[in-house]
Amino acid sequence: MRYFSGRLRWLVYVATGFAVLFACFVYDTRREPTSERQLRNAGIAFTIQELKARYTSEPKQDNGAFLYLRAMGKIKNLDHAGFVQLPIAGDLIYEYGQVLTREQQDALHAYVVLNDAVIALILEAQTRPFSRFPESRYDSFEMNHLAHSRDFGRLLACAALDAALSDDITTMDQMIVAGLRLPEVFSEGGLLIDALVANAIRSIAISSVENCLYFVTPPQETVRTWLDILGQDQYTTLHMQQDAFRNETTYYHRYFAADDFLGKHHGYEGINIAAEWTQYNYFSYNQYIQVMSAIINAADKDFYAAATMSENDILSKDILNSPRYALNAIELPALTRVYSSLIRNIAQASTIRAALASLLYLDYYGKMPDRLEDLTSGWLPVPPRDPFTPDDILRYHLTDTQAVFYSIGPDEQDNDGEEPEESILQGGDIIFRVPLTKPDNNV
Amino acid sequence: MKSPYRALLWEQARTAGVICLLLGVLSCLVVLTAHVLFRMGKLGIMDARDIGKMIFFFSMAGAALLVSRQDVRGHIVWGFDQRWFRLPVPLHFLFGIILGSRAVFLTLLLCVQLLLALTLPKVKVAELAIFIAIPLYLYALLQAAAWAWKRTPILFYGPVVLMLALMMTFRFLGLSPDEIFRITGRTLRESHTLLLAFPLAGLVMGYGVYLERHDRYFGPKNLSALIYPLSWLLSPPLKKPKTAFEAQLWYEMRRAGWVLPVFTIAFTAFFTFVMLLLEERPFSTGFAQYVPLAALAAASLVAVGKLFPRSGMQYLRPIDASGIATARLLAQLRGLCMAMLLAGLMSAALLLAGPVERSILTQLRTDGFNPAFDVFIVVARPLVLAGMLAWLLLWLKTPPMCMVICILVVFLFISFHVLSGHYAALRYPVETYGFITLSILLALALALYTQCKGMISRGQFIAALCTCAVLSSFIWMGSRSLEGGTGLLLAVAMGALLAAPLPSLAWFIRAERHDTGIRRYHI
Repeated sequence: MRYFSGRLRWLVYVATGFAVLFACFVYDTRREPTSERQLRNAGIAFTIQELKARYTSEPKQDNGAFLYLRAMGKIKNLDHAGFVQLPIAGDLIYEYGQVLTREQQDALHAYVVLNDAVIALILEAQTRPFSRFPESRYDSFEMNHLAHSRDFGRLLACAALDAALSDDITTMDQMIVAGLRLPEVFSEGGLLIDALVANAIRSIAISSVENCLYFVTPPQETVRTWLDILGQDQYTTLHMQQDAFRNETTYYHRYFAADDFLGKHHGYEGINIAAEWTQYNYFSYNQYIQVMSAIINAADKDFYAAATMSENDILSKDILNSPRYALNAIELPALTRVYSSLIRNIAQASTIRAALASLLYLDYYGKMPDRLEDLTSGWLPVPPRDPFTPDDILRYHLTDTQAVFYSIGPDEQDNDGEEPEESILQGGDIIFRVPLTKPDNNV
Repeated sequence: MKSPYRALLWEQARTAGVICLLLGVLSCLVVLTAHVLFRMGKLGIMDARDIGKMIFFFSMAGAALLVSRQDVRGHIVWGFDQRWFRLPVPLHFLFGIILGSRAVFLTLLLCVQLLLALTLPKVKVAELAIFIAIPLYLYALLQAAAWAWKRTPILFYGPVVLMLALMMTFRFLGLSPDEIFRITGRTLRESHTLLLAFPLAGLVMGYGVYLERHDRYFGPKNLSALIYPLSWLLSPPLKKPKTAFEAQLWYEMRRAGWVLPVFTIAFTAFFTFVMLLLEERPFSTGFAQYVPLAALAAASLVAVGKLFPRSGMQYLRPIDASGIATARLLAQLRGLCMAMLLAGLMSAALLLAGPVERSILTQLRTDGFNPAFDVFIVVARPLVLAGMLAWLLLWLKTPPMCMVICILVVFLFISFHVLSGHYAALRYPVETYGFITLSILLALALALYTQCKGMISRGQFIAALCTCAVLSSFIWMGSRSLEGGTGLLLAVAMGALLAAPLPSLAWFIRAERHDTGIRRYHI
């Protein structure tokens, strides 16, 4: 003890400091990490297992997704000669209002007949109480269900067009309703890729309505049914996409835990030890969650704010210089811009709602509305908002033959209802056209 | 009577000739093997061409070996041979003969290597020019350092410091790192700069010999001499010691206890300075917090040099080898604790200087979290890791500890290479359990052997075991990632390694005290 009061007094301080450090480290291992507390606050699942429990596919007998999966195994294609002539689902690029030749119509009909069983299963699936893919979707990168879901969308669009060309309004209505409802299977538990595929399917369904309306004027009840479906959450809000971002965060935050999608990989223990004792991931992990939370919350904000959100609004440019934030620098800027393409779908839905409401208005008043605000008197709850403008509504103009409802699109320039020449990335407007087949005072 | 020139010439020619001959033969064998493999189709053209360049690394090794010599005790040294001054030969002839013979043999070796390289396919003389020049420049630099570093080290680090200061001035004037390095590179690559190097090296060598002859110094004796006056701040005042151990402890603290903290600060400043030079936005890299930790590891390598006193007075102290070892360990531990404290403070400051880190912490506060404890952990965990690494590096100069570390490094290196690819699943278990087994066995064997031979007392043995137990529990209980039995064993292995320096140092000091030449470490 004499030593410790004299020349070795410093050793007492060192021992005290060590004990404090020991206690802090032990406490650190027992407490919940800040990153996980952030996840919990944002309502994000920690693990894939939690995600599976949250979006269980049980009870399976009530779950329409299992019928979809069965139908996926049965989908058939035409032979090469037929496939070349097939619009929408085949090689033939179909333009709005295009008149099909006899061979093309035959190919279209043959394709629909060939997949009758698939269509029957899809229709049956939509009678079930809910639709959610099985939990095994989180276990691998296997994307067959996504590709096949797009095939379903095209098949239903083909079936609707076939029925429209045959003047079979009832079947056309059935097919269009099935097409519009098809993205419901992605509405819960999906990842970002699911949200993008759901977007694609919605686009196919909306184009299908536009194509069919060119040939057929559906009765008022049919239009009301479509309008009801298009007024659902998935066509009017970003909740589904928000959910996808939330699940995406769970999916990818496992990278920071050195745990891949298939479970623990070789040598993860070594990486875990290194990451813990160097604290290399602390900031990048927390930054990832913060940015993802900001992206998730953006879905609750105004569409325009979400559509125009860029990485500069959320991320510091400095992360581009730092290898410590390399994963975030690669992944997050792209994610912050995804809303722009997701909101394109909202704009499309807005245009079709306005168009269908105008058809009802036309049917009721015998003329097209002067302004789209007029549709609020019984057909639309609010004026059709253009999500690519801060607070404007959709544009609309009439020509001799058709009415064009359009959003100015991501380029935020009014191109007078002109479609982009090749891609939406090149500018142009998001349009929905309705042929005017009835007498109209405005025309 | 034999001419003194003849003896000197013969000695120099024999030494340089043997070194260059051996390296030349080695180069021949490598080129011959490359030819055989090439003919058998086992070696591609590009690989053969690379071997043509690779053999010049032998000349680089030769440049380093030519400068070395064996002293009267049989040790390899790079310094000045005082006996040369006693030779009845004028100094300019003496050093002309030494330099000339070494330069001639190195040139001969380079010529032979050039001819050998030209026998390989697709090798061009122009591509080899740089490989021929490097050994010559390296020799000039090493020879100048061997003869002048001791007497005038400022001539070596002075220009480097001046160049860095100039570069820093440019940086403050607003030039980007790219522009500064372009200007510096262009200036250094100028033909007259390159040609000036040899006469300049000659002048430095001559000045070194002159200072040596007159036993004078130019500038401070070494870098540590600049900061030595500050060392009293970190050393306890001298009081009347009551025991030999206390006196030894004071001596060790005074002698080497300041090295780690002072060099940690110095290296942190230097590394930060280099970061400022290299990076447009140095604190945005995310690595600033690790700079003081790298500095701590670098300082421990410097402290290795200060581990043992140059004089033999330690052998006359009235204390046994284990007492000296304990005092030295405690002195270094004190230094390490101070260095860690300083490194921790600097690490926290550099961490908070990062704009990205600051923005993340601010966002955390906005979201209702208090990140203070997180920041403490983010600084403390890497700091403890760096401290453990520095502690192990500190004892590299004690051969038993060096052997343990070398065995572990070689084992991990080999398992990494052998068990990559198809055997990746095996790699981690093999590395982990191999590391655990080797660390525990070697450390335990070291402790048991030194205790059995009386190099450490039973009390010290038990203290080492307790230290191992405390450190193991600290590592195991303080880590989330060390799970289960394997985690516990890994922690014990780390604890054993950290406690091993005591027996290692005691063994080494006893060996030093009873220097029996090459057999001093016999078991």
